[in-house]
Amino acid sequence: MNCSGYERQMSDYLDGQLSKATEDELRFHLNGCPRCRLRMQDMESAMRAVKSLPAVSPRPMFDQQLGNLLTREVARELYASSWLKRVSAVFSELGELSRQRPVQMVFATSLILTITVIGGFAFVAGPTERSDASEGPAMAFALPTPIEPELAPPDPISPFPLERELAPHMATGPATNTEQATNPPTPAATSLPYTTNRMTGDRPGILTVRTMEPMTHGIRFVSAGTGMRLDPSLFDEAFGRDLVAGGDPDQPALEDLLQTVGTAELRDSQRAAGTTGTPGAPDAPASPGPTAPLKRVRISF
Amino acid sequence: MADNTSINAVQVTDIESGVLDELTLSDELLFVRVQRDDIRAFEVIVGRYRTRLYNCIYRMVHNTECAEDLVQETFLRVYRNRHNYKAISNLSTWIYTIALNLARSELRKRKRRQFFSLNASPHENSTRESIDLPDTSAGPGDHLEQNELGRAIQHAIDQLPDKYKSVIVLRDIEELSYEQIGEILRCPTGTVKSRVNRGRLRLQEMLRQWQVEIL
Repeated sequence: MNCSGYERQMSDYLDGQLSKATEDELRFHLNGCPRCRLRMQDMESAMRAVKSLPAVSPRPMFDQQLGNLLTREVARELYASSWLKRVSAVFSELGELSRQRPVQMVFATSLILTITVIGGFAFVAGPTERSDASEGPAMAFALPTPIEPELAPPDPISPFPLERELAPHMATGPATNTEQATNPPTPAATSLPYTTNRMTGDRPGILTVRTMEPMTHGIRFVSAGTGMRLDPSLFDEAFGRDLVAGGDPDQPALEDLLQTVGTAELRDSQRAAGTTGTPGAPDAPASPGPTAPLKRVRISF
Repeated sequence: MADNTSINAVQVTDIESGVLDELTLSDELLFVRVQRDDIRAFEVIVGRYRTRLYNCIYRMVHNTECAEDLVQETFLRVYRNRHNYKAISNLSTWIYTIALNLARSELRKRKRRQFFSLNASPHENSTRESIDLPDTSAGPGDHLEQNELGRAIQHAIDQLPDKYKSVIVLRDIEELSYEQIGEILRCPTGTVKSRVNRGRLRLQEMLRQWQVEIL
């Protein structure tokens, strides 16, 4: 046996696992081979070094953390198993029912499949019909679409009726070019009576809502109807912001913001007059203008 | 091994009826209870292995928080996969296999992080570490070794390649048999012995370079 063969026996020798004869043979080799003797000493030294390391224990909070993890794991398994049991129970009941009444089960299954297929076709064909209907003149003023998350206003701070409360009310009103249509809200929706001012013919989708007391409160409401896209540039920096000023004693007047709103409305009315070319359009009385007595303004969609 | 793992029907009945004391049961018999969703039995298993596993993993990863996390993860995996355990092998071998896999995975992640680190080239760092004396100041996540010798030895273990580190820790710290280490690392016993020898030689070489005397 050469040196590498004896080297393989060294770990067993150090662990005392060699037979007497093999151990004697290894010792005999070590006496005559200084290289192997040195390696044996190194191995023994390293082994003793590692064994001399003290035992370490986890910190006291370890058990608490592990207990929490295990409790969570047990709860998770319980929940998962109960859910699986419920599902398997439903399927087993269905299987039992199908064994007892196969004809009825086949009939019920085919009926459900038929309804599903017909419903699927109707769903696919649905949007086309709706888009056709939205182009009719009766939809001059449409309900606002659901608020997109990025366009959603911040948490409402105003006590006034917001778009969620105003929308049904606007949808039920007549879609005409009248300047003012008074629609008092239900007391449950808001305690503040207000009037709506619609410009549906020339500027569909833009609505000014004002209170009965124009000197104290005002709400400018812009609705995005079906098929309409709001133009953010119309409102500049006031777009999507809550503007609170004036009448609220807790809030100082922000004249520049009010001016911004007024400018936007003025420009809007000018644009509507220019595009439609109808000077008799009800823009002038409907638009509050920059000097309108808006005390509290909210632009929301 | 066969004596530990052979579970006859009488023993299982006794386990279910609680006749046998859980503290005197072997790991494998106790784990039968765990497989029957006995959380109390699993707590006994945890009590038996927590310090051994922590000691082993800490010596490999040399970080207190990381070692605790890995031990907790090991126990979670043992419990989660309790139904996959077959009584054809030692429970300790199975648990150590899970723990060692986690520890080696953590070491591999560290190597990757070190490799992609923009702060310094790892090659330069490793060369310096292999020559210089180890830093004797323990880090915030480290256990305080009793003396400088202990820190030097732990530092030498840290410098070992993973394949040698695993066998050295399992053999000289956990004192597992070569056969068990072979099962855990899925390699032949001869390979384990060879790695133990080479690992010890490398370790001693580093300690000699650092002029650390082992009495």
